[in-house]
Amino acid sequence: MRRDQAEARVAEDLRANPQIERACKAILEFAASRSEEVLQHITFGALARASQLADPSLAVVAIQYLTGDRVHLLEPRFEFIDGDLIEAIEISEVNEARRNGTFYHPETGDLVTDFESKLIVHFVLSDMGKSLRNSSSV
Amino acid sequence: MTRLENAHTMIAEAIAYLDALKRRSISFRLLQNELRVRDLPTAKGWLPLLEKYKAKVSSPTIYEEWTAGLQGIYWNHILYGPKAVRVFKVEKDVCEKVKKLLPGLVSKKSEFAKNYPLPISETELQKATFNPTPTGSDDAGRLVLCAKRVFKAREPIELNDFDDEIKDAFGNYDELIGVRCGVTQAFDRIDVLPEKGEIHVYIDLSPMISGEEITRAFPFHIDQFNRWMAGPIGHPVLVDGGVNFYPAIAKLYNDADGRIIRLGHATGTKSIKEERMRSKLLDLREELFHKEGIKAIKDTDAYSISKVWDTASGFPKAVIPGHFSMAGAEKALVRYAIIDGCAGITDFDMILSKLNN
Repeated sequence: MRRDQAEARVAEDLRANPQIERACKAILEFAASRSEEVLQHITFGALARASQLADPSLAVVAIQYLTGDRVHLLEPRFEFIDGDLIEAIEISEVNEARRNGTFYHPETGDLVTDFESKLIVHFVLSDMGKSLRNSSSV
Repeated sequence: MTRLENAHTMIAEAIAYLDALKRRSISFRLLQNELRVRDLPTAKGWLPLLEKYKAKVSSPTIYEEWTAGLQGIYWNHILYGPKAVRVFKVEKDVCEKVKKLLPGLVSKKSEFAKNYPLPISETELQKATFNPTPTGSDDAGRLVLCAKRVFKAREPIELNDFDDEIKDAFGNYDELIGVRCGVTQAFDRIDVLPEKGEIHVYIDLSPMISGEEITRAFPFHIDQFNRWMAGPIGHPVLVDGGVNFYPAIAKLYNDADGRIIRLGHATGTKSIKEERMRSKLLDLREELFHKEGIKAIKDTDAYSISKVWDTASGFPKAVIPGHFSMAGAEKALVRYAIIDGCAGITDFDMILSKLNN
């Protein structure tokens, strides 16, 4: 998908919410203008700043849209963070833990109570996101 | 013994090794890998793993295979699990004499001897000595010393487990952490290597202890070993503090192999940097922020480093844990290094050679 096509979809889908429409376009610009090297680990904070929303907490709406099917710019990634330990966790493992309600600490092997608080999400560019960077913009 | 009694004994033996590995806080990832490599059952966590090994199987030979495999993993962890090491240069002829004395130092009647190489029970451990006691030796010149060691564990406290009064008292806090002192049986070691003209003193880091605790543990071994050798050798053998690992920091950084996952360094622009990568698969030297920073100021003084290599068993690691006060100092000194992430002798010797080249 090219950048102009992505922007057109954003405009079409979010017409009723111009604030979020602007935020999504700002995030598209952020993704297109930074080098891929600095987009290896995109935090919620970075996306909130890029969205230029007066209330950064609204960025979650824009991010949800941009991880959806229509304009799949971003993909979530999970890390289990416990003290000094950072461990990448596959989405399938996160989903299984949420289904079963159990998660085992990758290093200690112990059951982790309240594992949700230790599963920290960040984002990476999807394949579509990478190709959008390479396409010409309007 | 009936077949049933025999099976129960073998299950108990397999579980004993697993319990001992759990008490040593073995990396579960490393354990999973070692189980897979030996075609042994594995699981996502300790609870399901122990259940698998308690399950009924079709033939007693399976229990024998399990026990033999677990025994191998356990003994490898005793010898090659996480260790802090100090290296002493000692004349080869002195090493030869010292090596011959090692079996005579072993105490067959100590409280640790009866279960060796497995640990004593936690109840017995509470009453055991803190003094490292020679408990085993072998023809390779290794002397294993067991001791009770205290470690501190930080654990979250669930407010919901308490009554309303306590909950109200701590209601303003987002998180409550408890610090618990536990005891573990340490398997420290002294290796006498005449072919290299070296004696290595190893502090067991299973479970991990703090830098302060490591620094306190070494002098006890050194002083005790020198007292034992004073009579038969005529003089102390572990002298001059041992090898200084500080120069190895720059070498590890500059050698292209492996991956730097953590670096402490001080800059001429008045900052102290503690940098780490989020993953063992990534090399700090390739990271843009680090590269551009080094390019901008040409040089920094590194004082601590963690480096990993890829092997079949995972990511064995070399750590030199200096303090920023050492950065670029005239007499910069780091007396011990840490070897971690090793499953067996190949990984361990490789890391040692990277540290002590």
